[in-house]
Amino acid sequence: MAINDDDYYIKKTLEGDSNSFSVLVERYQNMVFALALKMLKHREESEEVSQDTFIKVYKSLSKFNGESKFSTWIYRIAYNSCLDRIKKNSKYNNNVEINEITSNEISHTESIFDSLENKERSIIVKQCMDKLPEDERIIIHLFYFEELSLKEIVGIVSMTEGNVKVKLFRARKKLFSIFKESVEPEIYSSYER
Amino acid sequence: MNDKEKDLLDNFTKRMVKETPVEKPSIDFSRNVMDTINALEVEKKKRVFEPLISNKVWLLISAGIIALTVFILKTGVNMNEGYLSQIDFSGFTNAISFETSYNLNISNTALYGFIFLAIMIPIQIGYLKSYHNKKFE
Repeated sequence: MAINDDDYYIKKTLEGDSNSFSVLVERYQNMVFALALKMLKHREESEEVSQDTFIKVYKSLSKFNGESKFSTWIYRIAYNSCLDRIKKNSKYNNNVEINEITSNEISHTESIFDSLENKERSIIVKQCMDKLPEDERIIIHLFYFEELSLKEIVGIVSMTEGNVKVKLFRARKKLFSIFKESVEPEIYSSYER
Repeated sequence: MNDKEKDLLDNFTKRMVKETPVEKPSIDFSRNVMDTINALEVEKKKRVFEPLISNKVWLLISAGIIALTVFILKTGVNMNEGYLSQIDFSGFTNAISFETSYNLNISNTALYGFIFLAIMIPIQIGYLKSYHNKKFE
């Protein structure tokens, strides 16, 4: 329902009722902020970029032609705004080594994951996500957290579907390696038991 | 990596990512955005170009000119025998003594122009005054 009546609020905003835009801001602010935070890893900066994103969306609302979903369109603007900020700062650079992963390793690491307390698990995963290179982190977030389709992700990150698939595959492996590394002490102690 | 391992990794990644907390911006995020947008709107309204003479007035002026042209062409009014020639301007022209001082001959057409100009200037002054008064209210 929310997505369907986006058009209504877009139309009202374009007709000059700027307050209608606040409904769209309320609706998409968490989504945009989460994406910005994933990319920039800095709360204040993410909030600033998220605000800029909504201003840009407002200014270019008349250019939205409905070819893609409104949410995809906002995501794309947010993604590009974050990229601009990253280029400006050029301080984000991550390199993670990928090792071969076996099903045994996955099962074992998953059992460690289950044994962690909810809060601890959430913190560790967040830290692991932050260690991924920014493009892969975003693709993982969009695919698994926001549950967007590959087609929608392609529309946001301006990459080919093949490229997104490769990055997704690589990101999964990297995230697993990072997580395994961060819970390694637990893995060793479980072997000793 | 075989398909089974890929599926396992896919499921585990999904579980992991779903563990990350839902990130929310500050409470006044929406208000900040709307304040900026409202400020932009105010700025935009200030900058909106409002023509001094509206399209309606231009239309009236054009219609008047066309009507006048058609009237002149139809009735074949000779400019030298126009209405102004029936008015005695000698008092006015003698007072400014163009002809005597500078030896100038003013045609009726030029005189029509000057009179229209003289009429338009006070109209425009009044119009501009009210326009600027409204603007700075």
